[in-house]
Amino acid sequence: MKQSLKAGSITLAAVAFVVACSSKPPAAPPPSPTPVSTPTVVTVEPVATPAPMPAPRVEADDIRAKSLVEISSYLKPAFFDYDKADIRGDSRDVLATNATWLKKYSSVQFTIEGHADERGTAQYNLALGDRRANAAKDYLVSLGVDASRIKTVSYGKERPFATGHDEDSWQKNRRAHFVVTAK
Amino acid sequence: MLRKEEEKKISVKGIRGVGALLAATALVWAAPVLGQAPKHATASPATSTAPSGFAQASNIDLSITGSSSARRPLAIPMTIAPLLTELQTKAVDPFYTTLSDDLAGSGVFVVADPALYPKGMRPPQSREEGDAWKATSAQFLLDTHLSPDGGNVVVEALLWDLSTLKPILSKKYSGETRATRRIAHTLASDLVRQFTGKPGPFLTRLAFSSDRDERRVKEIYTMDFDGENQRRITSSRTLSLAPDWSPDGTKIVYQSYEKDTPGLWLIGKDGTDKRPIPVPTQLNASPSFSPDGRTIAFCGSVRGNTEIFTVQTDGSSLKRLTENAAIDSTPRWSPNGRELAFTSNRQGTPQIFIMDLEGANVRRVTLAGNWNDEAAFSPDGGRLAFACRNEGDFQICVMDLSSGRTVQISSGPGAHEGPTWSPDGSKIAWEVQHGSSTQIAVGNANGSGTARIVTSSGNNYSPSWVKTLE
Repeated sequence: MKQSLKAGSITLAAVAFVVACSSKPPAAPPPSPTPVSTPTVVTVEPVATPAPMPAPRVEADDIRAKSLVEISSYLKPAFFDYDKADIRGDSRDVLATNATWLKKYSSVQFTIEGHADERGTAQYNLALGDRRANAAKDYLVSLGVDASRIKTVSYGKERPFATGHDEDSWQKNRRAHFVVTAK
Repeated sequence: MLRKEEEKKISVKGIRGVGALLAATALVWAAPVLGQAPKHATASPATSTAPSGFAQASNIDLSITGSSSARRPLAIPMTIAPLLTELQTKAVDPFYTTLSDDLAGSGVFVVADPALYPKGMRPPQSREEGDAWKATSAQFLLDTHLSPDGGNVVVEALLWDLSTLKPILSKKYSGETRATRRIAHTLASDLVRQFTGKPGPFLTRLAFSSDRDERRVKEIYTMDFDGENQRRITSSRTLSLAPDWSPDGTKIVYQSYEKDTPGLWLIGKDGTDKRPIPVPTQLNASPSFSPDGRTIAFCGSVRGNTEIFTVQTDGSSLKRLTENAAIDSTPRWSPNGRELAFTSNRQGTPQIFIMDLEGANVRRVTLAGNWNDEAAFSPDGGRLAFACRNEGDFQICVMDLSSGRTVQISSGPGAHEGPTWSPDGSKIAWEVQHGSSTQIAVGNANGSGTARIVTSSGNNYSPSWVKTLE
């Protein structure tokens, strides 16, 4: 069971609105615990705007209407080899996609969780998870994402995503996992 | 509970059928008594005063980690008590079971098969009766009596030498009925001390983490070494891991996620006086108390690089000991306070290293196997227990540090990790993941006998044994 999402996420009503000028406050904003940085002009855009990388998973670009949980799902995890924290080829692609999205939605703050599979000791895996989270963070920073937006935390093997005792489950658990904490 | 300040260590006046008694061993709360000489006593000084109890022990040439041929065969017949059902269930059975389990698992005694015991003959009053007991292969007989005294119980115990037919130890304890197990532990400890000069570990406690509560998050618990009296200490509502006792047994240091970022925390053994240890590092895992109780070693992370740090318990004097890009984790103090064992993959696979408090004189300790981790020094510093693996699952290994000779003391499927030593060095507790659950096992440090699983609720991890015998 994923316990990594913060309890404070709130599902907002889907409200789409257009604001013309900065002097006019947004209409009836739903309650939100997260500070929204001050976009003054927001338009609802059709999905098919050209983007540097294909991002079909983003249905609507107005993330203010989305919950933190849902926004987190836009940032895919990066996976690692056994006892390694190197960013391998497929993870580079994932992180690059995430970086593009994060640079577009520059108000988003997030935490990268480092996880490990069950096979090492609990204590060593906490250290390994820490390395994985930071390796993912460093790679994003190298792609232009501001480090101040990124927190890291290691859960070692404490919060597995898959509970099988086979390589399929183990691979799922060897990851850097993204959790959006503010938008 | 059997509280020491209230405990009347009743001077032994007499036991039915024996007459007056010999002096007890020199315990803090014992008053030696000289009464009439018992029936079979001689004037020999070997049986009259506390130091001779010691002299007797030195003749026995016992070592807890010795081979089983050094274990003394002991007969423990059922405790004699008035035939009252409630007394039997509430006091006699728990007393006898606890006593037998402690002594059988002690490594000091081997318990003779109760199926061979003669009826009656307690105490043995003739050569023939003594021989009937010796026919069970016993050399010693532990005769116990329990009687109710209001809300209390009184236990009287005599240890007979079957060769001389002389009692060599007599004890009397009283306490609340609900403290009966503690009386059994105390008696077992006193018996071990009679033969080895050191009390047994039967009054000690373990700290550990468990996810058994309704929120299924790991909190810190404590329990008796045999699994009784399990108590929750933390209510962090988030992950609390890797407890380690302070040397004086008053508090526990542990890692907790209850703030945004995992940190080091201190808490009193009863769950009071919780406070964080402020450190600027991240991760903050695997805290370990120094032998003088002033310094915590831990695995901290700076910009994604894990290193071994030390810090004072108030957060001052943070010091980094390791300096390399590899994973360095799981530090543990040596009992002399001058060195730390830790795990590092700096040479490829995770192995155990030892360094001094400046981070210098780093030397690799484990040479065999592809993963060695979670080292723990024996209380005398001569041995190292650790999780060892080549292929398959982790087991618990113990290495003699002077010879390098290593033995595996755990067995069976599942991952065996996180060893911790009893303060007398005779036992090791560890966690074992078996099938879908993880539980705590307690076994003899020399690998003899079978390890006992002492937990069953939820999953239970990372045991830490207190560091004093109490």
